[in-house]
Amino acid sequence: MQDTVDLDYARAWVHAQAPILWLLGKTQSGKTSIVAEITNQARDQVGRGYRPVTQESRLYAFPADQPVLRFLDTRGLADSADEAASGEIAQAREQANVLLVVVRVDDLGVQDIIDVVAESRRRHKDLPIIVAQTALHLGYGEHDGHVDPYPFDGSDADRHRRGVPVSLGDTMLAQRRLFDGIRGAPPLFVPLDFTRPEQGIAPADYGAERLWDVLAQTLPDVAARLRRSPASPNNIRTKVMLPWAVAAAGANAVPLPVAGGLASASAQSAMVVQIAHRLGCAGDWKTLWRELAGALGAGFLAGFGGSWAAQQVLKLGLGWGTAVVASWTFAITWAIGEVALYYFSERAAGHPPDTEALRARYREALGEARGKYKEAKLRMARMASRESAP
Amino acid sequence: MISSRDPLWREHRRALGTLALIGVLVAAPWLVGLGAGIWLMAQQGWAWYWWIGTVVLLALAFVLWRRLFRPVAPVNRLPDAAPGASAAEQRARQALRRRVEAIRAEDLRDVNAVPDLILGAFRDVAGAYSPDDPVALWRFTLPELLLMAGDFTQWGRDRLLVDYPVLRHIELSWVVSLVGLGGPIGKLLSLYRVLRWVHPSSALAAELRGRVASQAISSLGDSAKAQIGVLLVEHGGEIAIKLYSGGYRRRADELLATAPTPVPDTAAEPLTVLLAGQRNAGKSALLNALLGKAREPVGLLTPTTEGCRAYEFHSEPTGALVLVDCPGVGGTDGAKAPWLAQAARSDLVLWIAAANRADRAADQRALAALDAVTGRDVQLRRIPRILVLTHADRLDPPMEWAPPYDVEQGQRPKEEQMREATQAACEQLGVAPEHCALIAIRAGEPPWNLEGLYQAIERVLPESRHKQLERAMARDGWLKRAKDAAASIPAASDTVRDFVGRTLGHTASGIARKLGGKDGGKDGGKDGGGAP
Repeated sequence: MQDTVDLDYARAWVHAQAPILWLLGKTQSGKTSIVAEITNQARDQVGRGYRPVTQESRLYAFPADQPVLRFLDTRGLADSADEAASGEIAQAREQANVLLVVVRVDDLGVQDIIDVVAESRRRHKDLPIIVAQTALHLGYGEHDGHVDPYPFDGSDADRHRRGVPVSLGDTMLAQRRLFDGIRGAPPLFVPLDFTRPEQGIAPADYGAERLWDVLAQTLPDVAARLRRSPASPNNIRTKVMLPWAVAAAGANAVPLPVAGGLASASAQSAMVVQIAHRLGCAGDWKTLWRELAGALGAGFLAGFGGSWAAQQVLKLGLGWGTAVVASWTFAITWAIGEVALYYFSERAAGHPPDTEALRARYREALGEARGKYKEAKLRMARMASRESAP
Repeated sequence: MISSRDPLWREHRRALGTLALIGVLVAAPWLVGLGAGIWLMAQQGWAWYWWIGTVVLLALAFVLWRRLFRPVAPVNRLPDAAPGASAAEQRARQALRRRVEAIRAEDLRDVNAVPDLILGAFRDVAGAYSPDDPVALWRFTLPELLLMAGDFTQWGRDRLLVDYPVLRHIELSWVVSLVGLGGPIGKLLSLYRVLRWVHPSSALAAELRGRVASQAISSLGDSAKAQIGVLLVEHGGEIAIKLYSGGYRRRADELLATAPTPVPDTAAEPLTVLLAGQRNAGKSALLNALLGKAREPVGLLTPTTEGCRAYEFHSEPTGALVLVDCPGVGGTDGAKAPWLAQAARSDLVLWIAAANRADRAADQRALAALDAVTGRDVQLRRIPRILVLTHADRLDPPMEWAPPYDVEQGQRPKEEQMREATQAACEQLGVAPEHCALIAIRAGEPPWNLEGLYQAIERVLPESRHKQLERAMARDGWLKRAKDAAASIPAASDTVRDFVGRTLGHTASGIARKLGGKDGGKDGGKDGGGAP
């Protein structure tokens, strides 16, 4: 472990006063995604769902030169029966300021982890414990998606939140019950789902705000320094627009411009609502969409509808171009997202939106989207073939 | 040898004389023609050509003859152990192979060497089944031995009659007489007959004809000797494996008078298949998908471990099965877990695990425990298993589910993920890829790729049948032994009564003879003799 860390880094680690966040969880439970989310860094380490990626515990100081927060990522528990991680765990227990337990929400075989948590509390009865219940989408049915706005608060009422599948609520609570026997204050539970944009589950940082709130309770200084606004344009692009565009392209969910509006279940309307909410504009999908459509103008919408109809005819009549339609759907969704981002940002800032600028933005985004789509497709392909050398 | 041949010779002399006369009558014209031809050629001055031609042809024939009987390596046909064979069987076959490869013609100098060869094979097998056991050779029961001897004889008989039906009409006395003819003609004749008989498959059968073989072996070529030795060891070894693995134990029940019908070698009853896996792995969903809504418990027919339930199942590729559903494998239950106890009584384990998970430690521990069920006893086969990977639909990209998917060849991201996930799970859990099945069961949709599961089961069926036979043949429990002991009591008591009766009868007659006259003695003797 120490060989891979250079000497300066080690010294900085030892002398740093920054608190240590101990990540405890099985391989692929989502530890690395949480680190990536907290530090706003690349997710290259975020591997696929079935092969151990993290082979040994890693130290991670952030930022590296003057750490504000230090992560201690113990090797995935229960990855392989041959490996014992007890030494690392004893070390981690002595150092940690906060224990962040990461469990997939559908995983009830977590006795090994509970044992470690219980033992840690026996030795340090004040150690704050956060339990991140990850990968909520594993409990979704065919037509389910993330419930917006985020409904969970860590209490037992999470079992019956509106829109959340019953079985998911049951599993979530069953998993929490497993932590009942632990001494001291009950852990703080945070259901979340940090996905890669290519997975097409929007928003890709579902539950991040709640995680930051909980971190603010346990590590107020750290949260104050590291927390970013979820409304930054880049954040909205990667966490909201990209997943929605990927999902729409995958499902071939072309928006239906009927009577100046979209169907409520469509990917695009949901995206617009999420963007508006992030930028602080309240309202349900009808008001928000009508507002955006009005700003774009009726003529624009007619042109949009015609283009959509042409695509449908091509698709049905010639039988070609499912890939073309997917690419087109991606571009449309992305462009609508850009328009919404621009429009609601301007509105939130109190500027009157300019129709011409909006349309220009739309056309520009449509052009950019081709490149984005290629990139996303490449990532999807890499997602499948990436070799996570163990 | 001579003493026994002489009476036979006398017996057949007249018939042989007539036969010789017939031969002379048939051959006379040709012999006369031959002489006349040679004489004619001599008159024409061609005799030299004839002589030279004759010598050349004979030399050629001699060369061919030598070529025909050049020593060749014996053919080795010892089959490999079937997949899933017990460690003991694999060791036994290795030892037999070594022995077969070492066999040379000298090992079969005469018929007395035959028992040594077979005994060697038996020692190999017995040692493999009971290592470090001084009395390994005697680890069987008398009925098993009788069955084995019967089996061996029948094998020889069948080979002989199937290969040479004409033998049914040849009295052995004739064979013995002819083979025993002295001089070079007799030698050639016996060699010819032995070569006809000693077809590789029936060499041992010929061997069993004792007297014929004892005379023939000395005149056999080296290749034939070695081949016979190999056959003896191979077949002897096969029979020894069957004996020491308990193959005759089950059939020993046929010898009981109460056994209604012979037990066939292939089991007809359905295989017992255990479904097990971690909690939340998708076991119940799979069971529902296999059985449909109407579950038919068969608990009375198939006694299960506490907490487990058995269901009847039938499908075209797999045939009839009994599916046993045991509670999920928890983290803390040890070797006494219901599923493990049930596994020991199952012919196949379907181990169910989620394809989209990376934490395999619990599965690895459970499968190691499953190996330990049979690992303690070298005679037991490993319980065959199939890795059923569920939740294929939740592999990346998670929200996409648009079957059909081509797991073998497809290029879509999901298809590539399916391949990689299957491969990774099989590797981590030590299951051969052909014994892994990836499935998906979604509410309100037909299950995906159950055919793949059926195919995997089909591939493992032969192994499971072996396991089922093994379980059926397993050493009987105390109850059965007590029952057999009780069943033996009447016969034993009859014998004792008989013995006592006879002894008493003799004593009584002796006393009567002493006390009374000759008549009383005779009567007493009659009584004693008539008792059996």
